[in-house]
Amino acid sequence: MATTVIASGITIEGELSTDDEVEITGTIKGKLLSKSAVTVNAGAVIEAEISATRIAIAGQVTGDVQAMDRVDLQTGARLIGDVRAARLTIADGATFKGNVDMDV
Amino acid sequence: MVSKASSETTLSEGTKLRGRISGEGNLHILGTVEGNVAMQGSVIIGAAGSMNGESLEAREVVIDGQVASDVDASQVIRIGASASVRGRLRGASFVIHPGASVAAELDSDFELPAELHELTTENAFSVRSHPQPSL
Repeated sequence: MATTVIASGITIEGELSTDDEVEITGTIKGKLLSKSAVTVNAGAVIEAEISATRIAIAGQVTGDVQAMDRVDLQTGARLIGDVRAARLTIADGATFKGNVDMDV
Repeated sequence: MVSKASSETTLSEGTKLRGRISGEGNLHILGTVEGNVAMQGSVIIGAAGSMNGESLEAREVVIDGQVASDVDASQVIRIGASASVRGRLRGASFVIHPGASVAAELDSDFELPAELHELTTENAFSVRSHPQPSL
């Protein structure tokens, strides 16, 4: 399956919407919508609202995060924003400030 | 996740970007970009890709898809047979393959002999040259 890759050293300002998986090591400011999985690698800086089926974060995200399936905050992740997802994991070493809505 | 040194950015076929993308490395556009692109490396627009905006700046630009934008390349602009290009193109050199649809003004800084310079300014192609004064 096709994947959209935003490498380190790249900055996107605007709205990125996709049917495909997204893997980010660069910077996104604006809005990110995926009908598949989003992976925010260590080193990535996201100042955007993220909406996807699954969201895995090891980098830095400022913005609300919404996943149909799950959100995983991995070691080293830094999230400032609200999470709306059916499942949420926060690994040891992840930092998080915001509200959680598990959609019950 | 050791993609730290990765310099390849890809916007896949199902991806649409509205805004601006800039930075280091190469950019492959297989989806749709509405906005501006400024890359230090190459920009490659695949056959299904399109770019619609005001400016596309890169070292090298390879177009196999659709572009409606001004294009500024410090090196070569390559336009493939499946390409459709509208805008003002500025590059050090151009390669345009037969079959490409090009409605563009080509602008290049290169040195032409005086007699050729006269020819190009008289004929219908909108290729402009900027001959340097000989030293």
